Amino acid sequence: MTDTTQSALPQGVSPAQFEAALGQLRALLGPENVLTSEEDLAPYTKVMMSDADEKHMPGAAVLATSVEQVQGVLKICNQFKTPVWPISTGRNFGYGSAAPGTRGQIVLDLKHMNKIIEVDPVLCTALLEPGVTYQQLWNYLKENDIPLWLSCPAPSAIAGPVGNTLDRGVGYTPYGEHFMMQCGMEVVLANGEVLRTGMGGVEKSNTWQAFKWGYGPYLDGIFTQSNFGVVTKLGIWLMPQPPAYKPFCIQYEDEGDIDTIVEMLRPLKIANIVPNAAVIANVMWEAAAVIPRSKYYDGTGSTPKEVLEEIKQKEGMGAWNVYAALYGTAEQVEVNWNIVKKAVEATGKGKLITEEDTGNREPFRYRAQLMKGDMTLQEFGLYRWRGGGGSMWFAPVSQAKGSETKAQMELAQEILNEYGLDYVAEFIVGMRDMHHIVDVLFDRSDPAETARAHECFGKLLSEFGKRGYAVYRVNTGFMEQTADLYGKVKRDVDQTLKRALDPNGIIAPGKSGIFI
Amino acid sequence: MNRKLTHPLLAVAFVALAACGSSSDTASAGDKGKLIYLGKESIPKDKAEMVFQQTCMACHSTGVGPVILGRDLPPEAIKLFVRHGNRAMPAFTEAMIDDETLDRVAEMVSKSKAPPTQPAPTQPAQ
Ligand SMILES: Cc1cc2nc3c(=O)[nH]c(=O)nc-3n(C[C@H](O)[C@H](O)[C@H](O)COP(=O)(O)OP(=O)(O)OC[C@H]3O[C@@H](n4cnc5c(N)ncnc54)[C@H](O)[C@@H]3O)c2cc1C
Repeated sequence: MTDTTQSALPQGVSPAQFEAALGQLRALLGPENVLTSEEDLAPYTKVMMSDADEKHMPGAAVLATSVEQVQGVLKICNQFKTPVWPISTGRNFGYGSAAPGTRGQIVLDLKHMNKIIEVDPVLCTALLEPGVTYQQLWNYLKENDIPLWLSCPAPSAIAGPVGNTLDRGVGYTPYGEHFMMQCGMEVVLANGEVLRTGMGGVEKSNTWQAFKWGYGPYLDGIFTQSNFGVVTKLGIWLMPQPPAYKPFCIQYEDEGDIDTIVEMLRPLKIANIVPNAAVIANVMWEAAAVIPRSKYYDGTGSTPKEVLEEIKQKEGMGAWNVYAALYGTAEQVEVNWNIVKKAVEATGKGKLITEEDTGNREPFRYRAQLMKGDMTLQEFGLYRWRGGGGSMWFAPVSQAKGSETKAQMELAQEILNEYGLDYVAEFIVGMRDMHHIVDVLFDRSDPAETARAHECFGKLLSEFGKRGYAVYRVNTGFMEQTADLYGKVKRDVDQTLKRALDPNGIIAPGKSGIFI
Repeated sequence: MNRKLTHPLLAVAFVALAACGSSSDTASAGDKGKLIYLGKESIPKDKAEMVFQQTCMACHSTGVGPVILGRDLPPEAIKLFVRHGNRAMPAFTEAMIDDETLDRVAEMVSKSKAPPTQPAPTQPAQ
C-alpha cells in the first residue's frame, strides 16, 4: 500500500495522528476499504470547478457498508480529530464532485450502502440507502413491474436520490423539488447516536415514509446542505405513472421574451395545470445538447450574437425553449392542453412543438425523458460546447416574475461577457420561484481561462448579492462567500447548531460555510 | 492543473479519441414521430453488460462523448480513462464499477466492432 497521505493532511492534524486514525479505520473496515494510494484516490479528485485540485485533495477515502460502521468511523474521527466528508453517490458535478470541501478530509464513501430497503407500491414511497443510484432504482421498478416514476436530475443514470435530495437538488417531473418529496431520514450524529426524523422515532411506527413532519421542531431540513450528521437512510415519495403523458416545447424567438414566458407560465404552474418543474432553456443550452460550439464558431471569448442567430435559424431553436409536460388521464391532458394552447396564443408569439412534430429528435427527446424520470446523460453535451471540462453552476433564485428573470438574465450576461464566457442558462420553474441555472463553462486545461472563470464566478455572486439575489447551492470553492450573503445571524445559528451537534467539527467542515 | 493526463497511456488514447471527435449528427438526426422510451427489456442481466449499456453507451453512443467502439482502444487506456476521467468525462471509483467488472467492460469496448452509423475515424475533431 503506497502511503501518500503526507501530501494531503487536514489542517491541524499531525501525520502521526492521521496515521493512527487510518490504522483504526483499517481495523474497523478492513484495509481494502481504506484508500490512500494516489491511484485509488484519483477518481475522488476529479473536479470541474476553477479551484486547484490540491485545495480539495482528500487525505483518504473510506468505504462503510453499515450504520454500525458509520458510527465506528465517526467515533475514530472524533478520537483523532480527523474530518470526514460524506458522499452518497458522489456525482456532485459542477458543485465539487466527490472531492471534499477542504484539503485532507477523509471522504466517507457510502456507495456500498446501496440497498433499496423498501418500495411501497400502494403508498408510492421508497426507503433507500445512500449508495442507491437512480438507474438502480429505475431498474428495480421496471424489473418488478411497479408503475412508479422517479424524478431525477439531468445526470440521472449515475447520480442518486439520497445525495441529490440532501443537496436539495431538482428534477423535472411534478415531483421535481426533491426535498419537498422527501419523507423521513436516519442520521448518524457525530456522537454516534442514530436519529430517525419525523415519525421514525416512534416505536413500531409504520408512518415514517407517510408523514413528513412528526412532532415538535421539524429536523430534516438541518441535515440538508449541512454538516450536522451522516444520513444513512432516506425516504422519498414516488409518482404513480399517469395513464397519459404529453411532453411539449414552446419556442420563443427573442431573448427579451423571457419576461412574457414567465408571466405566461407562472399562473399555469401555480394552478397546477403545468404541474412539473418545467424548464426554459436558452439557445446555447439547447444547442450544447446536440452540437459543439465549434460547428458555428471557432473563436475564443463569448459567442457573438450573430452566431447565436445563425444557430437558431439553422438548428431550428428558439432564443428560449420551454419544456413542460401534462400528466393525467387522456381527458385531463386534453383539457389542460387546450388551456396551454390558449395561454401561448394569448402571448401573441411562441411556437408550440409536440412529440408528433419532433418526436425522437434531440434535445426534445432527452427533455421528454427527464420529465418522466427516465435515464439519460444527454445533458453532458454541455461540456463539449467550449471543451476543456470546466463547469460551475451559478444558480441564483429568482421570483417567478418576468421582470425579475429578465433583470437577472441581463446582469448575468453582462458579467459573463466581461470575462469572455458564455451565458449558457436555463430557468427551472419552481413553486413560486425560478431556479436560474447558469453553467459557467470554461476550459479547465487552460490556466488563464480557469483564472478568469474563477474571478467571474466571484463577481457573479457579489454583484447578484448587491441586488438581493443569492444562489440556492454552490460549489465547494465558493461556500464561504455564499454563506456571507445569507447574513451573520444565519451563520451564527448554523455555527451554534454545529457546535452543539458536532463539537469537534469532524463532519464535513466548511460545507455551506459552516465550521465549529 | 490537468496533471492526470500526463500518464503516457492516457495521452495516447486521448489523441486517438480527439482525432475521432464526437458525432453530433447521430444526436440530432433522430426520427420524428412517437417517442421510444426504454422498458424492462432494456436492462441487461450481466453486470459488465449493464455498465456498458447503461453508463458507457449513455454518452458514447449518443454523440455526447466520442465514439469508442471499433477503435481498437487498448483496455489499459480505457481503464485509465474510467478511473481518472478526462475533461468532461467523469471519473468512476472502484465502489461504482469494481475492478473485475471494469476489466470486462474494457475488454468489451476494446474488441468491439464499429457500429454501422459511426462516422469515419478520419472525420475532423469538433
Ligand atoms: C450535465 C449536468 C446536469 C446536471 N443537472 C442537474 C439537475 O438537473 N438537478 C440537480 O439537482 N443537479 C444537477 N447536476 C448536479 C449534480 O450532478 C446532481 O445534483 C447530482 O445528483 C449530485 O450528485 P449525487 O446525487 O451523487 O450526490 P452526492 O455527490 O452523493 O451528494 C451531494 C452532497 O450532499 C452531501 N451528502 C451526500 N450524502 C450525504 C450523506 N449521506 N450524509 C450527509 N451529507 C451527504 C455532501 O455534501 C455531498 O457533496 C447536474 C450535473 C451535470 C454534470
